[in-house]
Amino acid sequence: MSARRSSEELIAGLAERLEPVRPVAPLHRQMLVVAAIWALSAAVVALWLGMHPLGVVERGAVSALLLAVLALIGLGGLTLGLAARIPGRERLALAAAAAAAAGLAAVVALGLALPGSAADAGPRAEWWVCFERSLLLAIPSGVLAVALALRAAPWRERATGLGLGLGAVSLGALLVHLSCPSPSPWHWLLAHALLPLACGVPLGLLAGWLMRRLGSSRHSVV
Amino acid sequence: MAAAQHGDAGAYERLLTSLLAPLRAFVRRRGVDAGEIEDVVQEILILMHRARHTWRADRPFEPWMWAIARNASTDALRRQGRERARRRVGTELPGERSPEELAGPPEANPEALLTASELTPALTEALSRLPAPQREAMELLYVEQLSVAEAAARAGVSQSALKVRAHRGSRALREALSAEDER
Repeated sequence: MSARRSSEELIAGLAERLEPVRPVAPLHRQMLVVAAIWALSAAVVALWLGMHPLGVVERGAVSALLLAVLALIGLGGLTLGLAARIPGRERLALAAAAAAAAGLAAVVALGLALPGSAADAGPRAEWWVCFERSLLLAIPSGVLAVALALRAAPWRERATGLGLGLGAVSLGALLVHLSCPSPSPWHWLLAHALLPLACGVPLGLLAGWLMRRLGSSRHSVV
Repeated sequence: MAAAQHGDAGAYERLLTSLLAPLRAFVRRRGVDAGEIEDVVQEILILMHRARHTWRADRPFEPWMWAIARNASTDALRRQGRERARRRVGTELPGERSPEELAGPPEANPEALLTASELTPALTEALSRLPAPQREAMELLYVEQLSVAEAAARAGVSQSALKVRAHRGSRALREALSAEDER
């Protein structure tokens, strides 16, 4: 279809309806706000369940590696989600996506390399609690990050949603990993990584869909 | 751009106008069909308008603008590719008719009737019976003659959604008008 109204007319129309706008906060400040909320969640978890950061590392390489991988996916996912919505920050978004993807690959590799099977994760009731807590603890930073992304450019909802979903769930799982007393590597892998991350994907896609719906109803311009 | 963020319409108009030529050249270089260039440029302008709050004075303007242009033109190229593939499939099917053949004579084509200076009573009646989203899509595209990008922005939906609504509206109008003729 050809443009029957000229671009000059469109520009005149856009200028005529121009309203002042407040620029979005810089990316590093958005990240800091999300980090602050995550730290608040961490404080709540520390008071509620207790935290054992040194214990997590002392439990062995698998536990320490999982801690690092969850942090990588969390940081990478959130950076991807927030940077993808800011025009001109594509390289950062790509680097963040690569970091998150490397983290996911590491989780899968860990699962393949770990001796034993998922049956070694212990009774279902035990790992189910950790899985639920991972999702619950993803809510504060996830909701805040989605709200920040919603205020940015109205595009790339799927990548944004995926990044934020995986990132928030991963940071929630990180808190659970820091507070969980279980000695079973399969429990960590299943309840602190595989299951929450698997849920992070549909949750992220849902967030992306919501952003698209909310974004299109908020941005009617001409 | 900083002035535009504060609501200076004159500065904004000057800025966007000065971007028209480089944007047209950019879109052409990206390989967008000649007939679509102006549509894509308008999509870029609308996207820039909707995302104008994402530019910060402490960051350079050009990378921000080109990122938006790249994004919109990539979408257009994808659309163009899909359109070509659909047309290719259409011509390969035995007995498949071209869009012009399917549309029939201009009199039987509701889009042509809608763009006429005055709407016939039968068309006005048929239009009023369409579901609101389809009616809005038809009016924006054919009565107000907006581009797809503008119409989608005005309706607050994606371009694909608007096209689907217009397609359904067009089909419903055609059916209503042919039923009217038979009476």
